[in-house]
Amino acid sequence: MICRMRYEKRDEVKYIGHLDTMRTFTRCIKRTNLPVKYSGGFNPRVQLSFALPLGVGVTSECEYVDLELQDDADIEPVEIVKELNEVLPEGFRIVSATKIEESKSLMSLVKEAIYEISILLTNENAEEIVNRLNTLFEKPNLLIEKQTKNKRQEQVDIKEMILNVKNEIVNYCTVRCTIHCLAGSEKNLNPNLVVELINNELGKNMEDFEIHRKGLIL
Amino acid sequence: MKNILKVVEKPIRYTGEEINMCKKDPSKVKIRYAFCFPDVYEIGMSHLGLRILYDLYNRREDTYCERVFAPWVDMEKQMREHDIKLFALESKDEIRNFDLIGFTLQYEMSYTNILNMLDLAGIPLLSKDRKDGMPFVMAGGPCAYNPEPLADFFDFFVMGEGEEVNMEINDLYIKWKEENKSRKEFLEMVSELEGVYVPSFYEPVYQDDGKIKEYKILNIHAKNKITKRIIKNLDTLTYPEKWLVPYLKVVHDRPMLEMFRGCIRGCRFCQAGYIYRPVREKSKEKLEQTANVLIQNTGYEEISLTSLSTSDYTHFHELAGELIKTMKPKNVNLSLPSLRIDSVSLKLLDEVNQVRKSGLTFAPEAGTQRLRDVINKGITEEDILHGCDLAFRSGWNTIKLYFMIGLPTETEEDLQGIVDLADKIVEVYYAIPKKERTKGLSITVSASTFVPKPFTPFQWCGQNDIETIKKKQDYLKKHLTNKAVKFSWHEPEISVIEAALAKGDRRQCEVLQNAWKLGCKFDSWGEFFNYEKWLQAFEKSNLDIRYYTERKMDLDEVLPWSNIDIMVSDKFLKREYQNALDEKVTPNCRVKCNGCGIQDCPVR
Repeated sequence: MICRMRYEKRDEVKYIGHLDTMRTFTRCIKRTNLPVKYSGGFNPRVQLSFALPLGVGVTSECEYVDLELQDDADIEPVEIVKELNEVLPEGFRIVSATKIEESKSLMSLVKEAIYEISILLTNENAEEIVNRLNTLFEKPNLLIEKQTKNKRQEQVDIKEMILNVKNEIVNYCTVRCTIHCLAGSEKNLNPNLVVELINNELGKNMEDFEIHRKGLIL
Repeated sequence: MKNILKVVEKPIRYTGEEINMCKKDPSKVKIRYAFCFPDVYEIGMSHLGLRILYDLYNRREDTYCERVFAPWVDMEKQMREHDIKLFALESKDEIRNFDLIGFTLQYEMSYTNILNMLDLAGIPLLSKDRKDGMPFVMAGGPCAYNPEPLADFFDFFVMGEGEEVNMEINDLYIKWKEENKSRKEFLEMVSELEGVYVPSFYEPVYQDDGKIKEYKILNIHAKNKITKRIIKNLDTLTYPEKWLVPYLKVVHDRPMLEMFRGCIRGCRFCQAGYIYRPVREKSKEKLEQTANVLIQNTGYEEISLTSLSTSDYTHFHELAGELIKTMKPKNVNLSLPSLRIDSVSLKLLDEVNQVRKSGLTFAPEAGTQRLRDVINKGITEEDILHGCDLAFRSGWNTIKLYFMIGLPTETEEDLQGIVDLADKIVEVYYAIPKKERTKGLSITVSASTFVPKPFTPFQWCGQNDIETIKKKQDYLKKHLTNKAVKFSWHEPEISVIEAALAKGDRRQCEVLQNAWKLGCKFDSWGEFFNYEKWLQAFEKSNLDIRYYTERKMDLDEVLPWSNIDIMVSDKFLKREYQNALDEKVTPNCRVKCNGCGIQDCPVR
């Protein structure tokens, strides 16, 4: 039996990378008395499976993890949520959980994602920035240099991976670009590439951007 | 600060907030203490002493102890560009406003990082330049036993185990602050505590030949000799049960269960074997109890037994058996480092399944029985070959052998001994029927360079010069020809600087400052170590590095560390030095007391 949980990763813990997040969950679960199932073999491990990795420095309100429970476990999802939230570090919070019988790996279920990219303005006019972004995303091709796995530079067009874009003024010093894009193991848009694209257009510093994962569509 | 975290590698090195981190309201404490580890987070968080003292300080309501590590070079660059001063991990407050700053001195090659951290903190490097209202900078740890190369930078040093004396210092600090006294008066107060060395109260006087004539005592509060502190009964100590769990994978990523302090062996090159005397064990019951609490509080999947020599714990097998029994149902592994390999320990390793059936390590340190007798390494060729035979028969196929080259009295014969030993192990492997051994034999011979250390019988010895070490390495490269044997070695330059600092005197404070100004930092990291700059640093101060590294010191000469007393007598070290030259073995402390000078030794 699997308990599928949705959790948030807020500001305080956003610098914890994906592997470190996985370890943190494992250790927190081991500090509870939850009836979890261990893998077989010489080094029995808590059976956890995560959805799409989140980049270092990115916050999220929509992360998923599957936790495998013992077959005869008699425990309600709300209790699991309660126990886990007591041991998780500040910044991580389980918001909901459901029991499912069986599932393909979470990663393979991911289809799309929604990111909010906040742009901190220094002395630019917010309205003008929104207009420039609107024009930018209307271009037929959005080309960006990307480093490939074997450390070569390669130009990619991210246009085809973007499903929808909305640019808006949050307040006089912040503009928000919300991107709905393809995600998952087949075609995945890394939000850092979008930041780079915007940065190339606006000529700001990388420090002026915040990325937040608003949604993950399974 | 928020912005620079976005552009540095591994930002969680600097954000703290780990599980079991101590949170306090800084306005409600009397002492803010910065525990500084002069290396990067992943290394500092693997250090047991930090865990112990962090816990002990924070058990006091009047003290808030926070952690500080050396920022990695990318972070340092950002901090300097944005004028961010060195801050503590817990509160993110600048440590220049703290009361006490304590550095732990674990290895000589971290010294330049200390200067760099003080500079990043905005604290004057030299003790004499610190004014009222600035923190006191103190240090402890194994390298503090020769405090002289760092004497100008620290207000005071603590010798030995810190559990009691650090608390006494805190008490005095509170008293001093209430009485509104001068900086000097605080130093006078702490210099009366057993185990505290205030270097500015002592002045070395040199002879014409450069050797030390004597130390002049400049203050009536200063003692003639500073005796190290030890905790007599380790069971009376509290243990850091609220074990910090880092998010980052650190070097030793598991809670450590300290079994005992000290070592019964007395290998003559090993500083730890002398400075941590006498051997004191924790009770088995207490250890079992602590192990359970540590696992409950951390959720770790592994726990390790910690000491200088695991197998030497009196009730080791009972303890290991008991721990395996309680940890298995919790799916927690037991890690057993530095085991002596025999049939019993191999069975145990099988049981805990700690080592994948691949790597077993032996540390003969020297290639011939003669040289092993010189260094008093109580392991024979027969032990090693028999251990290998057993290991091969129970499925292991990879052996690592640790040696040191440049040991006192070493000759070509001893180097050939290393080659012969490796070849004999290969023979042992092939003598076993094919069905009874695992395919793919691999032997790694690793040779480090001998560094003479203070408070060992070899403290008077010189080090081989670089050319000689390189020739010896070449000999091994040339002669270790067997296909199954791999040779690994390190460039000797780093060991030369290590020796110079280990045996250094107060004149080296200037050298250190020169080196730091030339850009030396993270010297224990191969990618940053720069030998040329270090040589320049010595030249600039008109000091000959070979005077410190290669010179054989006279037995009656005043040693730079002669103000310090480690409770082991000078007479004993001299006797051991002579025994080494005579190739005479000294039995371990349980076999026979060798009269090292320790009073009330529990082993005797």
